[in-house]
Amino acid sequence: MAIARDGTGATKILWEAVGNGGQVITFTTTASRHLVVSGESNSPAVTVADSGSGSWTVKSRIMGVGTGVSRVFVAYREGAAAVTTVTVTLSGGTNYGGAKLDQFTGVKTSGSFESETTADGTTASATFGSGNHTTTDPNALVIGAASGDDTSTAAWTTTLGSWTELAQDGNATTSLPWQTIYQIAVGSTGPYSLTWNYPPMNGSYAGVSLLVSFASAVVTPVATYANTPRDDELIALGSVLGPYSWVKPQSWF
Amino acid sequence: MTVLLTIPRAVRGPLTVSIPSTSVPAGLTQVMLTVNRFAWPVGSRVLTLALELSFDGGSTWPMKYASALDGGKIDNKGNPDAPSRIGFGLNSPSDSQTRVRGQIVLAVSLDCSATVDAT
Repeated sequence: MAIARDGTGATKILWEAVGNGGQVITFTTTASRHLVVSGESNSPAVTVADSGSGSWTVKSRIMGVGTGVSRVFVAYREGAAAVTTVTVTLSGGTNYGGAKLDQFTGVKTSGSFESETTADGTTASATFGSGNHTTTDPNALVIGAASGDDTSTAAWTTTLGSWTELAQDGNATTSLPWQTIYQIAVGSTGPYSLTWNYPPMNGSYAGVSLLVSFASAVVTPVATYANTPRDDELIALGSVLGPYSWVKPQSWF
Repeated sequence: MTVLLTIPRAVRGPLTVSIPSTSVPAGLTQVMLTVNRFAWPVGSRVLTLALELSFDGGSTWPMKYASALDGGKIDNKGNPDAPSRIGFGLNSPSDSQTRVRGQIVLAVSLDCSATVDAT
């Protein structure tokens, strides 16, 4: 089964000046899904847990240029049983940011994480690149997250191309704008990249980008025979798979 | 921005303030609960905010967001009295069946006001 997004997930949550502690999302997920929470906060650390006591892993990147106040993150749980709540726990004082919970099918249920690619923009530049991210699996799921800082309420204007937006907050409510996206690879390891675009970027800061990929559960089929194939079966197989060469073992004659 | 509900400033608590089920005008994409704090005493979970969304006129409430706040913290701009806001960005614009309700739990006596708005 190829990777697919299951519905549109929970609605994104937004927080401003909420302090430490848990941001609890109540939303019932479907069993056997790869759960992803992506978003941004100025929290020094982000952890994620759920009502099913599942194990979550958080990949994150803190802004590397300026004072480093913004942290983008992609948290995931593999092959999760259905859960009713997901809690994003923040730290370090009063927090600004947001997150979105989504679920995917067809992702490997263990050891799905492949790699991450991080990048920083330059000060006051509205556009910044994600860097090139090459997947291991040509049918992988790639999730991206980016953030910046501003004094505006404008929206992100990233040209998505083959990417699909999961969520964005253009600082209508928070001081740290963010955008998250995804793409499902179709027979190619990439490299995958994009140019984030947030026009009102604050002059004191630079954008920060994170791309993360997860392997699909698809297993490449291997032809096996319970019995010795007949010549007509081999010919039929050849017509499907294309030109081939075949040497019959001596024992078949 | 459309203000859906206002709770005027007063010293209250400890108590739980229920935000009644309120219709969200069609075509909007964000619903927020704002609590403006005029004092912010140190303490654990001084304030707990919660919002729920219904997409079927209030029959079911499949989305809820709750946030517990410790008192005494200042925001990252050095302001102890900044309003705290939580809310939802809707996956698709609201329609006539979209409703919001919520709860504000004050663990201590607190000078505050609150609004629910949508944009």
